[in-house]
Amino acid sequence: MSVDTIAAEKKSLFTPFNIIAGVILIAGLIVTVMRFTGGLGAVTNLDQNNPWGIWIGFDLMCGVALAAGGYTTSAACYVFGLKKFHAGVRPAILTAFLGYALVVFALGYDVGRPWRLPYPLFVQQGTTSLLFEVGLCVMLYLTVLFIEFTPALFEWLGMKKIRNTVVKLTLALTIFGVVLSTLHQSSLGALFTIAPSKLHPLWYSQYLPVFFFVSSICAGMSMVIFEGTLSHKPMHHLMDEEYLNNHDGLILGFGKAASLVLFGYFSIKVIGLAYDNNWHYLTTGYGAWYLVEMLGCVALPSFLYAIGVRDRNITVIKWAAGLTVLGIIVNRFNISMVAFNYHLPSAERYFPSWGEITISLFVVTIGVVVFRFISTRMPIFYEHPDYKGEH
Amino acid sequence: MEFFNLQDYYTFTKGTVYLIMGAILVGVTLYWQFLMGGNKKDD
Amino acid sequence: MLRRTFLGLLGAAGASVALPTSAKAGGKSFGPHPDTQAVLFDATRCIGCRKCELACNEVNQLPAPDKKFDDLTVLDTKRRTDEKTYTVVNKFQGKTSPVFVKKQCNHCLEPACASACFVKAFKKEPNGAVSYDASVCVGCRYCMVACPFEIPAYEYDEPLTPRVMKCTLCAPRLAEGKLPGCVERCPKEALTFGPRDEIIKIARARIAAYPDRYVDHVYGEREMGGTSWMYISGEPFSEIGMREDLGTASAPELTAGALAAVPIVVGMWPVLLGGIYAVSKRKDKIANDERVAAVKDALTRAGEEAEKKLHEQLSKAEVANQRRIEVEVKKAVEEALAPKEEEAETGEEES
Repeated sequence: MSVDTIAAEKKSLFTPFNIIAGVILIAGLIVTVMRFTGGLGAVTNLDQNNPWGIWIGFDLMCGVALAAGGYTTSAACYVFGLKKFHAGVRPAILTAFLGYALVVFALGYDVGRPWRLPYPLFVQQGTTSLLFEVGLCVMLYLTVLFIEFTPALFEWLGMKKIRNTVVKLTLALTIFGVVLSTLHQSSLGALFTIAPSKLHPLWYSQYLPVFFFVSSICAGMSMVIFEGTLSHKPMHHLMDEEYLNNHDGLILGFGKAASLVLFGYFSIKVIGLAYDNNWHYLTTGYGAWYLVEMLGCVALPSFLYAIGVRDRNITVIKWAAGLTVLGIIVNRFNISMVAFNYHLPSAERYFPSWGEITISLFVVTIGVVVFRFISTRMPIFYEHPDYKGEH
Repeated sequence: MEFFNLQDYYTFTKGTVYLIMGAILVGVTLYWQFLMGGNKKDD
Repeated sequence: MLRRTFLGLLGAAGASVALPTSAKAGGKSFGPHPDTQAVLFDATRCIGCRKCELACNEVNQLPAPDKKFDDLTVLDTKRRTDEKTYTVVNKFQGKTSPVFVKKQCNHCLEPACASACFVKAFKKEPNGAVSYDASVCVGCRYCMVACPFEIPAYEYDEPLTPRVMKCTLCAPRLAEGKLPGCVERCPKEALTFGPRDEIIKIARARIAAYPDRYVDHVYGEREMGGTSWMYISGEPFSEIGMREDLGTASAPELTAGALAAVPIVVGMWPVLLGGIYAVSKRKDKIANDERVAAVKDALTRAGEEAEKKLHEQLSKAEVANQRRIEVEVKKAVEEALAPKEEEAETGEEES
């Protein structure tokens, strides 16, 4: 499979995608300057009651949950030995690597003194903090993802020996990756266990860590399907036989798994309701929204996945994937911004500012642009001819 | 050593635990290699 | 099948470690430090003069506020602490007359901010103050999320050196043997400073002496694990802006369950995943061996069949060959004999 980068360069730089991306990138740079000359107050709607906004709720929490495809796909292929997922590993790892790198990048905007981000690790360890746990695991996992990405880089650079050495580490890295992912996915949920008085009872639970971890599995698998769908047309010319032949099989496989895990997730959420005896909240306004999240974005996609798998209907599975991804975003938004500070009067509630939205779009755009750059040059959707068949 | 609140107690114990976690990860890797070594004969 | 087993194990592991722990720590209980000081605020004595706010501003050299401290109209709106204001007095409607309540950091015995901080910037000092170290603070603001009393404020308008701002219990003054600024300045002795157990005794004594005047509760004695700033009031606390639904579990207790699960995952996941890998590899190997054996078997059988067929064909060919030979021999013999017979016939004719 040859890479048509020469042909791509001959095309005009001013495609619709590039123009939109360009505008967002420029706007992002402007807001960046404002952020670091005027402070967080100049750019965000954060205040003393609402210290966390969409840079945490979306960039960090959704970013991490949706990058879970990295550990789920590589575990499916290398730990569970399911070869049909092999072609999906590299795209998933690249997505995850970029996702986590951008999470750290976005944190650089959100924290007051980003140059001090290494402090919890190297200066003073707040070991009682779940944020310490999140930070440590995210740092380690970003390293793991980077190393897992390097074989594609080394193949592109023709560095055979070091590529082969790194590939030998695959199993260890995969297992380490699952360990780290379990820890930080769950710890992101555990962050909120410290504030029961601020999170609506329907979303607060001592099971928050388990909820976040289990839903991250669904998120990861669904994102792999969702992204595979988005990249199928634009990247089709790069996809090799193995990728194309296994594409549907991967979707069916993840669809089946996602259906079951979503069912499990729904079940443990119901247990959570019973454990805290929160049934009466279901009849409130927040209760209605909770039901929308649970029935529309957890139960429904689980069922759609099942139907798609039973009928071998790839289209239905793709819709289920999109719905699950939406559900994860809704869930993380609910916990960090909607159900958080539910007790405050509406005048004191938070809504993102244009500056925050711009930076969030900026971060996502950088991710897409870099993904496109790498996947059109390096063996991500295809196997490098020199290494064909080598797992 | 005396701890006057749960916070200080946990700071100490969790710190120890983090160090042990690092050791466990290194240890299990080495142990796995030890376990999976040896003659590769069929059962 | 393997996937399901894994998920089942995961659920079991997760459930077993994610259950909430209400016990302190394996049955142990701690502190407080014997030198812990505390402040008692008596809501029945406060007149809302805001002199405590003025004192705090001076002692801590905070910037001047938008409205001066003798402007009592600010009491008509509910205020909270902010990056320039460590303490505020709010006015509430009491049964017969307005009630004024001073709000500031409660210097909890088990501070949620300290539990939350991932650089250990907060510390419960032996003298009772919860101190903040701006030299390590990264500015993540998780402390603001964690504090149930909604106290820490952030300098959002500082681009490069933003700090968390909150009451320090006037630690420098305490070190000099002085009272906190607000306590010293209060003209009505609404604030009393002293060792924590003494303060609780004083509070209880006051309530016992004037049972019709006070609600029978010392707020902060046990809330969120207990605080160093406690309150007694004539009005129910929920009506003077103080939450009564916070419970007595401290922040470290609330997060203990999640924290406890972390090392178990590290210890067990490599074992589980390694096991799944090994089993999966073994299954593959067995399947492969079976396939190889089946192929070998099929080949052998095919070979045997081919041999049998060959043998049959050969013997058939031999038989056919034999017969052909016999036929040829017979023919040859006949041909050989035929001229002799002719000679014999012509010989007979000649003689």
